[in-house]
Amino acid sequence: MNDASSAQDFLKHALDHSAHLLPMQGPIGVFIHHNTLHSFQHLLFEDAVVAASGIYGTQPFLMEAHYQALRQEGRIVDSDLDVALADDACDMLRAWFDPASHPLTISNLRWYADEKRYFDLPEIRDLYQEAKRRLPPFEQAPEGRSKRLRDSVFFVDGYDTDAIVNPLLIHLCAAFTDQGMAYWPMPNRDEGLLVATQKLFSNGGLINPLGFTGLDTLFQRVQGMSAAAIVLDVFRQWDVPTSAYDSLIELELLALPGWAGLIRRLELEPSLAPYLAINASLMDFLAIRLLLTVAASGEHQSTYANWQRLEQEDSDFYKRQRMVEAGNIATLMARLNVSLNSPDSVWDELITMTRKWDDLQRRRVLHQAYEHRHALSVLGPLSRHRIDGGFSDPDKPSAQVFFCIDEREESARRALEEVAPDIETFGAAGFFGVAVHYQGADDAHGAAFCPIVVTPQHAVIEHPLVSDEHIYKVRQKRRKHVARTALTTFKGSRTLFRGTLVNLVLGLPTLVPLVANIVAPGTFGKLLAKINSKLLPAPSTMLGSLHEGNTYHGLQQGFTLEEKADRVAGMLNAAGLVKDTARLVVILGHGSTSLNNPHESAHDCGACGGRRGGVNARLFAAMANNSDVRKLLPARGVTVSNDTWFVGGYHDTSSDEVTLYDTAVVPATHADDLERLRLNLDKMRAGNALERARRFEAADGYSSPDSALVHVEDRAFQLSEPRPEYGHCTNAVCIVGRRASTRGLFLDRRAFLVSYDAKVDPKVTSLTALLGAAGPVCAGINLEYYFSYVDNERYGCGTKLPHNVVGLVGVMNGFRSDLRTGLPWQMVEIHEPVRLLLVVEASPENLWTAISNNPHVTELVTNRWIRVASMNPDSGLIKVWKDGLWNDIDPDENRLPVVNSSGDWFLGRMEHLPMARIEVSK
Amino acid sequence: MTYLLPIVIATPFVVFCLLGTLWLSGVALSEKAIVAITHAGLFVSTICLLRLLPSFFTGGTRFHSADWFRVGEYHFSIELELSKLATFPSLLAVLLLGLITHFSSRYIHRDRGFLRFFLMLNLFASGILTVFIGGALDVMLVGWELVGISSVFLIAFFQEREQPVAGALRAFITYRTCDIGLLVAIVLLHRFTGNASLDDISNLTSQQSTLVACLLVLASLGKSAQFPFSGWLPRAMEGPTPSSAAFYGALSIHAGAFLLLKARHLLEMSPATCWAIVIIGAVTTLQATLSSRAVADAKSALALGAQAQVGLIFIEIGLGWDKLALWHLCAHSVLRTLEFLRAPSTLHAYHSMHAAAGGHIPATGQFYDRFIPESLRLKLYRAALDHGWVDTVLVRFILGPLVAVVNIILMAEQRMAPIQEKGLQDD
Repeated sequence: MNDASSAQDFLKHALDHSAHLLPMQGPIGVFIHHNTLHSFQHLLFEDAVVAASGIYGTQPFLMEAHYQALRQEGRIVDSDLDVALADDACDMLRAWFDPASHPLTISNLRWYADEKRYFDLPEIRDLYQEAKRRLPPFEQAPEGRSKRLRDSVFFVDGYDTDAIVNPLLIHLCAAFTDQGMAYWPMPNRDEGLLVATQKLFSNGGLINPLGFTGLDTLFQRVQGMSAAAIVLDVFRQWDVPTSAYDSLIELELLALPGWAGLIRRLELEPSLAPYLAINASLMDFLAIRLLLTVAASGEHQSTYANWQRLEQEDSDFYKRQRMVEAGNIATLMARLNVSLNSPDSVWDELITMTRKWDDLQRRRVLHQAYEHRHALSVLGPLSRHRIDGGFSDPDKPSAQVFFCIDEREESARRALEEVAPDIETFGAAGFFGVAVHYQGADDAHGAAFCPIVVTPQHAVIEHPLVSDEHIYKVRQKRRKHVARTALTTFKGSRTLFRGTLVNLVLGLPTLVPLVANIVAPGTFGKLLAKINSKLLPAPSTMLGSLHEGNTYHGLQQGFTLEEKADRVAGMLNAAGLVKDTARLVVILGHGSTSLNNPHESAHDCGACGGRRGGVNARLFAAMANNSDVRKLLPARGVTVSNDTWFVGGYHDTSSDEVTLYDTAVVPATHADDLERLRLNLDKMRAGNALERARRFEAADGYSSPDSALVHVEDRAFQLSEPRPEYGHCTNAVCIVGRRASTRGLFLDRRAFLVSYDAKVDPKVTSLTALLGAAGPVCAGINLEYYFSYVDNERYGCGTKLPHNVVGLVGVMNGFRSDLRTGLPWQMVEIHEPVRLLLVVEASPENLWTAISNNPHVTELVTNRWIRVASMNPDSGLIKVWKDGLWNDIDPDENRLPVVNSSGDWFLGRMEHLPMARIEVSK
Repeated sequence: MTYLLPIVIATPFVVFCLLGTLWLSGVALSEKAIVAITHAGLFVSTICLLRLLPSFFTGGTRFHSADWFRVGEYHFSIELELSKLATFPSLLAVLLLGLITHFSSRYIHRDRGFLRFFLMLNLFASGILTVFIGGALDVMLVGWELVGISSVFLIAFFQEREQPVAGALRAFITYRTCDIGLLVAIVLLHRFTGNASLDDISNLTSQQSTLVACLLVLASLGKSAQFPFSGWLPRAMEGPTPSSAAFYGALSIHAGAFLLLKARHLLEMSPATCWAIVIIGAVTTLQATLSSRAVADAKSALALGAQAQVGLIFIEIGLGWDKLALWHLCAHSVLRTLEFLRAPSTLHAYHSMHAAAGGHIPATGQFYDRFIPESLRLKLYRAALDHGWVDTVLVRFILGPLVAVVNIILMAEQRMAPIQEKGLQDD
């Protein structure tokens, strides 16, 4: 008994260990960006990507051809390569980095050898033969990866048990995690995947699915056994030594990582399931996987030791590898005119060098060169801007507008400053310090609106105003009717009887929405919205205030005065707005709406937990307008002028629509200010749309702000649009500092902008908090884009076009594939995969203090998952952190083009643009 | 005016040839140009069809080419007919194809296979229109094959992955198997009547008519994914969404039903065949409905839903309710197209529906929960998971033995004439 339980403990431990390698993505309806290689973060970035590539079979960097093409374009120059090579740089090595030096690869060898007779060329032949003679034999091949039963069956008997197991297992997982798509829910699924499957298959007397034998007997035999016991049982049957549990479990889980990962997520955080609770367990999944494998391999089963003996390596491989190496050495020598009769030392040097700088090492260095050029192109102009005096913020701003730190808001802020130079803008994480569990008047349930690492302690419920109660009732009643009709057609059209009726009656009339949707999406979308608002009148609402003692799912309803003051002061303090507030302070949350886009939530606000941040902005404004709260602010270091009014709002980054909340309660004295601000915000929307349109090939020819606005609005409504917006694509930089340092700089929507003023933060408490929140969030976004771009098929989820929504939890490729995690190609296609460059306007010492205060940030920095630079708040001098040292940057790279307006710089250009100084926002 | 009929089917084919030739000769066409040319081709077809529309009230238009070739008794001419039956499906086809073209111009934007997609779409347009307005079976066969081949290539659109290619191969094999029916039917009709027209069949004996009718039913089963040839349909969901819509929501899937509608005279002569059609339709409908109950992904659910509706259309045809069948066919194409195109919105739609319903969406399948004992429920669910066992039985008991036999032959052949691969030359 004791033995059994300790074996199970050991197994559980092994499972937990392997499960770390699974993707972290939860159900896709709430998409939160995170570092794809989160579980490798304890390693140096360069080592981690290589280690991961061994485990997942992925690419660690771009392919060499890609970097070489970038060299051709001038995006990487030779001096960058020299910097990356550091002490190793020499002429011979430089020549080795020339693509002409290694024309041979394993895959093109045959073509060169047999068709082009490359080794018979007079200038190559002798060198090649000599090189081959001198090449030392390969060291003993590293121990091969351990193998699974599947590998053995495939190798010996020529069929793939995964091809039999996976489709059924996928169907089971889809049915099990389904949130309401299938007409019949999976029977007994409350009891877990194992029991449900076991009951299903041990029910007797029916046909085995294709490829399986004895499924019924097998499942009958394990009746009543726990998942762990089943796994141990199968392992014993296969004679798996305990030392191999880890690696075998890892291999079995990674055969279907998407589904295994989802089950793991739901097991650890059941609340992630959007509609129905799922009793998920990864051990269940593993047990079923093993049982199905047993049933699929039938009599072909053998023992673990047998599998490991398989010699799967291509025996020809080393021979070909040798030919490639010798051929490339010969090419290099011919290019450098090194003679055949050179002394041994030259040959040895050549051979050592080419072996050391193999494909992986070259790509690593080329990647460093690529990032080096990027850093110079950002830091140089940034310091030049400061040296040239920078642009100060307006003295008496007519309004102050807070945006999220999101890099997509960079262009919006710039557009606003261009149309209204008297407006000051700020950037703060888009939940604006108000972590809350919120339920809107139209919502069925509440949800957390805050970064995922935070658990909200407060709930806020939106209520209709008492005067509008009757409108609210009408609205909810009609919504239920709409829902019922939708349900009848949504699910009904697929059933038999209702489906036939729906088809016969509604079939031809659907031509109208079909044509309208495709031909005039924007117009049709707006028409529908108009009909909607007539049909479903919207009541005016208010946010619930403090109810002492009233709780909502165990959370306190509303905030106390003190709590409100803390949140208002905390956010304003960190952003450096501690006095001289303008007559209007607008807080703009953001989110994104699009149709036909399962990844819609990935465009929402990450700081709001993948939700839309209008709620937090509205709540913040309501708190800050409270006169009792205002009285508590000075004690917290913030003075808000008496004539200041806060307005909450929402910016849709897809349609570029801006909504302001609770404008009815804005004092009459501020009506003119509000009107002026609205006009400016409208101009901002159009200007922002124009800048976004420059990246869209389909927006070719939109050169006026208004036409661009129509274009981006269309995109949000268009069923046929796989790129409603480019999301965080191209993000590369995060600048923490005063807006004055970046105001008037064209940052090309590539920089997260966090407002911070070192002057009001001598103890670096604000900076610690800002970096602790923004660092991991921005790094998570940046690294997810890095991996999804570098290996889109395996780290990302490939092209969107064949995606098929399954169970309301994720997407598959077509029919029964693994669950696809990561980002689709359409979201990342114009990305530049560079690590985030974090520039902080603080002295190196203070910055380092803030970094060391947070172990998570420290890990990101010291393991080089983000790049860090400090900008001196007084002098503007920039120093880059590298392995413990702060280095000055190359002063030659300080060019900064000057143009009048952003439009002058970007119109008609689609590529990544260098930074420029925009005169008009002065 | 009859000369307009060949133009209807020729224009998309000419566009296909044009795009193909330009591609092969290395001319890089812009996406806009590809879309514009495709639209232009469909526009010409539409105009021609509209010009011919008045003839709907006067009994249709027939086109008759001079003999193309003549071998002894046998002569071949191209016969086209815009019958009363074909008018609306043809118009609907050009309309839906135009919409799909417009949709895809944005959806497939920047994909490497953009040109390939539109090539196949044009080939398909030409094929399906030929099926609709072919005046005799031999002309229809040409269209039939074009529909098949374009469908196969679009399922395998993402050719760098394994599953799409496997799915395409499966569709291809199913199509080819069923196409035997059409081919043999043509040969037999020629033998019996001297041509492949479905109208000059008055002097067939009842055995002859039953034989030919059964062959046509076989032909129709593959394209329309009817029992027992239905397994390929969910696997065909590997292609890009708009092609799934055009083929398996709107047009291709109805081609079989349309063929049977065209063969109405023949079916009238063979009541047994009609009953067979009713039974096949009923079995398909039940199988598809059962399978769809356990399916949790958007596109499979739509494919199985389409299969069930086409099964019903088959029943209607078997019962002789042609008008209802035609209405059902057209209505179903439109609705299913929209549903396919909106499939990626499932999350969005479900979320707003859930919120509007106040967080409570009534559970489905309660009827079955309440009235069926658990053991039977589990059996039904297991059958649903395995798509009604159709494929399992087919593969295990028919294809499996067949493959085994072929393998034996292959091994014998290799023993007699071994093929050696040349190794890599070195030194």
